[in-house]
Amino acid sequence: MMRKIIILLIISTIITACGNKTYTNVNSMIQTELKLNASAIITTIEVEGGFISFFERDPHNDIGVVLYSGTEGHIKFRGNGGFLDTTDNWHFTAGKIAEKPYSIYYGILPNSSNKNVNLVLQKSNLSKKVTLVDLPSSKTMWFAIFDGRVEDTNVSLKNS
Amino acid sequence: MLKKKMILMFFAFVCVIAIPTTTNASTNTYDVLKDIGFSEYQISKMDYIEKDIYTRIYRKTDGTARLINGNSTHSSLNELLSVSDIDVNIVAGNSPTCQNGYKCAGIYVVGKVDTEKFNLKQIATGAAWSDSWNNMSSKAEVSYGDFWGNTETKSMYLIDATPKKGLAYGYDNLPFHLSTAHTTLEIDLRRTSGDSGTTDVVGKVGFTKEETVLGVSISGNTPGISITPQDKVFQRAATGSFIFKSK
Repeated sequence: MMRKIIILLIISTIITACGNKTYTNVNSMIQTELKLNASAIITTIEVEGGFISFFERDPHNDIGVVLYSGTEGHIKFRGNGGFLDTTDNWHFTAGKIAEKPYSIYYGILPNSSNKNVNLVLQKSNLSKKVTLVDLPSSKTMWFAIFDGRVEDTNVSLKNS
Repeated sequence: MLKKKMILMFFAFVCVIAIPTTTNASTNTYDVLKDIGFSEYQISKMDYIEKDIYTRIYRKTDGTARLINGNSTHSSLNELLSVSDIDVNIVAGNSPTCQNGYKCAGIYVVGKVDTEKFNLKQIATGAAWSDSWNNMSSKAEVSYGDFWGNTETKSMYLIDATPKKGLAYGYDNLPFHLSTAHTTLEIDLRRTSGDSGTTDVVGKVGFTKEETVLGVSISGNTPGISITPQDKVFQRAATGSFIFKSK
């Protein structure tokens, strides 16, 4: 009886371990899970339980988001968002890492903006300072990540 | 004996009250569905949840809601899992919150998933449109019959949104016993210009049979929407268009 329980435990451990594929880097994870090429990882943010990376998609030059957990060299795919076309003002995407949802807003900073910009979500009556990242194309990307579900499509940027 | 008679009389009274009400309601619903543009065959295939969804849309648009995707839905050829057990309809009508000086449209993507097996895990719905209409408000709900036959309606969460192009919602916590579920996506669009034209709309409904992380890709110039991962999401699209005129 004891032997059977041990065998079952070993089998369930193997199944659990095989359930999520482990990757050594973000590029190979994007290539396998999303079946596309990332020309550059723009930036990576550490959040509770994992990481959120913004990447440029080759050859479209639009910007995608990938969510993953794990440690360096041993990462596991947790989801992805849609793509920000460089002609779009902004993009919203939602994802989950270890059952914790994140709301991600990002876009291309207009030339007229200064470097202190707040994201204003009008319906939710929320404002948050955005993080800026310079892109290889000499444009600047902004992003703001909220813990939990913050859903608003009335989005604007305000110089602070 | 008297008590028994009184009980029988009470039930007879309830039946007399109930029957005409039911008959009137179904007649009205039938007229509403015909006015929206459904054929008799389509109406005969609808369950009570679908009928209720379309009736609410019709009332919300002051009777202007019209089916814009014809009688059939179209599966996208480039999708790995396109299936016949998803039904998608797009209805367009007046937006109830339109202010003077703007042109508005209410777009509704109504979906029904019927897998005939108790294997529905997640459900998603979305829409993409042309002509850069602003999305003023949106919401999506999933409805299904509970164990007792009552309708349960839950709010879906926003998966992805691109301004002036499209958005998509998902729901992860469907009860284990489900084989059928309905989705209603409601979007209020607005534009300021005095131009006229024809706007193309794509409506999408998808479901999974195993737990996964839902993602969405949206394009707007030629409207398109794809729910990912494509090898796990069974999905179907409907396409339609509506005309807008300068005032």
